[in-house]
Amino acid sequence: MQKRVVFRSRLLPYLLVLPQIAITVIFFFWPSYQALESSFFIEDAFGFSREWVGLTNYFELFKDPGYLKSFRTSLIFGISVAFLAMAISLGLAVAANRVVKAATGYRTLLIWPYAVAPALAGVIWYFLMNPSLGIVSYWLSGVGVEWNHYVNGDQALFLVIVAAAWKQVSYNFLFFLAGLQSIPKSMIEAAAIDRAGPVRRFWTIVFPLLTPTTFFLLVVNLVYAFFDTFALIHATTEGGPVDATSILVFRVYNTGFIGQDYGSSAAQSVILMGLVIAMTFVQFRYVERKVQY
Amino acid sequence: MATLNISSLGKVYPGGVTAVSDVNVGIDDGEFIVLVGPSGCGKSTILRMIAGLETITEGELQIDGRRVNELEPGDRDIAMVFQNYALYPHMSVRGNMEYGLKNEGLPKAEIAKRIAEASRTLRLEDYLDRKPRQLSGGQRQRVAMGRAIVRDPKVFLFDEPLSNLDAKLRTQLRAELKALHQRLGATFIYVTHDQVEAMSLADRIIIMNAGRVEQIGTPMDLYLRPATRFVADFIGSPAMNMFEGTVGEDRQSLVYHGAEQVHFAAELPVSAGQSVIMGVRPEHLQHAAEGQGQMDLTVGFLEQLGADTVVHGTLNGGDNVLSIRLHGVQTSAPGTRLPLTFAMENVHLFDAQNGTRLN
Repeated sequence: MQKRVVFRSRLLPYLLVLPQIAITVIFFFWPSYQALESSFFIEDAFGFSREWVGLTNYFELFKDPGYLKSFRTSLIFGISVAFLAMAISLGLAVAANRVVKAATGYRTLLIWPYAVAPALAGVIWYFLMNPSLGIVSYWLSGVGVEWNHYVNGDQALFLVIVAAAWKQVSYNFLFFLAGLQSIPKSMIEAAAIDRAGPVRRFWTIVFPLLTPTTFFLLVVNLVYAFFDTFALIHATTEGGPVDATSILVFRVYNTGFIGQDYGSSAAQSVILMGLVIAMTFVQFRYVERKVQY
Repeated sequence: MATLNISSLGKVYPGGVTAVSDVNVGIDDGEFIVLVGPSGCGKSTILRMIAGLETITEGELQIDGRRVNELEPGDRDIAMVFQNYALYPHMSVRGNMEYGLKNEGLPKAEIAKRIAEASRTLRLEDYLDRKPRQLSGGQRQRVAMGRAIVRDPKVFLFDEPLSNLDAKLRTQLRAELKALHQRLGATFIYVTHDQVEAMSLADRIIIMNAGRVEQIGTPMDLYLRPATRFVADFIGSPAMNMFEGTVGEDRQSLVYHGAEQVHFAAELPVSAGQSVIMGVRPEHLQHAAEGQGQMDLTVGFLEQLGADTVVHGTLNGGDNVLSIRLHGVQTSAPGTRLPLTFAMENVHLFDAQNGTRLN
C-alpha cells in the first residue's frame, strides 16, 4: 500500500494548503507584523502622523511602575487562577471517578460552566458578590466581612480570580477525569494491599501518574488566565479599582483604546506575544518529552 | 504462614446478580490452592474477596481463626500478584518493592535486607534501579512477585499471574513458582483458567463453574474421580470422551440411537434403561485385537505429538466424537476401524440430567 499521496500536478498541493496559509497570513501574521511595526513608532491620537522612536516604547514601559505592577498582578492572577481551577477540578474529578450511579448526569452538569461565555461568567460572579445586592456579599457581611470590590483592590482581584477559575474548572475536570480513568484500577488495589490508606494512595500513586495531565493543564490554565480573561475583567471590574485588576491583556486595551497610546499598546502586545511563544515552547518541549515515567 | 477458613462465602451484587455462592473450604498452613474454572465462574471474585478488594456479602472468611470480613486489604496481612502486574510505573523496581514496607513503617535497614534477599531469590539484583517499562514481561512478573515476597505476608494471592506471558516463559515461571512455594512454605492461593497450570502447581484444586464449587480435591482426585461431568470435561487434555446413552437390559452396554455402542466387561452400578453419560479418557483406551473390542473408533485424523499420537475420529462411525492417545508414533489411514478396550476402573458414569457421578 502506498503511504504517501503523490500528486501529479505541481500546483494542486499548493492550492490545497492555500486557504490555511491565507487565513494564517491575514489574521495572524499581518496583525502581528502591524503590532511589531507600531511598537517602534509614536503616533498622534488621531492617526495623522507617526514618528520612528526605535525601542523607546519598550524602555518607557519598563520604567513605568504601573506596567510593572500589572506584571505582578498578572502573575498573582495567573497562578491563583491556575491553582484554584486545578485544585477544585481535581477534587471534583476524584469525586466523580468514585460515583457509580448517575455518573454521566453528574459529569454533564459539571461540564456546563464551560459553555458559559467568559463575560457572562464574570457577570454572574459580579452579581453574586455585588456589595449592595449580591447574595455572597450579604452572607459575608453576616460573618463580619465587609465586602466591597469597588473600593477594595484585593477583593476585586479575588473576585476576578474566582470568576476566572470557576469558568475553567469544567475544562480541567474533563482532563483530570480522563486521566484518572486511564489509571488501571489494579494499581490502586495493589497500593491498598500495600497498606496505603486512601490519602497516601492519592499522593503517592494517583497524583504522580497524573503528572502529564497536570503539567498540560498548568500551561493551558496559565495561558487562559493571561490571555483569555480580558472579557471577564472588562465586564466586571474594568481593571479597577486603581488598576488593581489590570492584568497585562487588559492594560493593552486600556493603553491603546482608552489612552490612545498606540505605540505603547503595540509594544505591550509584542511582549505578550513573546510570552505566548515562550509558554508554547515550554509546553511542546516539556509536556511531550519530559513528563513521562 | 496461615490457615484460612472459608464458610458459606458468597457474593451478590447490588443488582441482584449472584457471582459466587456457598463456598466452603478450609485451607491448611502452607498449602498451595488453585482456583480453576472457565472465565466468569467466580474464581477471581473469591480471590478478590479474600484480598478485601470485594466486599463479602454472604458467609465468613477467617485467617488464622480471626474473622477478617470487615478488615481493609492492607490489614489482612496478604500480598497479591495481579494479572497485569500492577507495578507502579513511576517507581523503580526497588521503589515498587519498598512501597509496602515503607507504608508499614519498617526500619530502613530491615527494608534493605528484605529487598536484597528477595531480589537475589528472583534474580532481580541488576534491575533494581530500572523502571518497570524498561523490563520484559517475565522480569515484570518477577518484580510483582518480589513485591509480594518482601512483605512476608500470611497468604500469597495470585490472579492469573502467568497468562500474559508466552508459552515457554510460562512453563519456566511455573516451575519457579513451585520452587518458591516450597522454599517459603507459605500459603498460596492461585487463580487460573488453565487446567495444566492448576494440575502442575496445586496441592489441592478448587474447581468452579457458574459461581459454584464443583469439586475440591488433589489434582489426582480430580483426574481419577471427577465428581461431576463438568470436572471430567474440564480436567485433562485432550478432553475426556463422553457419550450419552441409555443403559442396556444386561446393564453391560450403552445403547444409543437404538444400537449398542459400548460393551462393558462388568455390570454397571446403575439400573437398566437409565440415561447416563459415560466418560473415558483418551489415554485409558487401548487398541484391542480384532473381535475383542468393547467399542470401535473410526479414524478421522491424526495428531502426531512425537511422544504420543492422538487419533481423532468417531464412535462406531456415528456422530459421537472419540479420540485416543497412543504411545509413540502411530499411523492409521482415515476410515479405518480400530477396536478398543478399556479397564472398568477407568469408566466414569454421570447422570445425564444433573451431571453428578454415579459410580
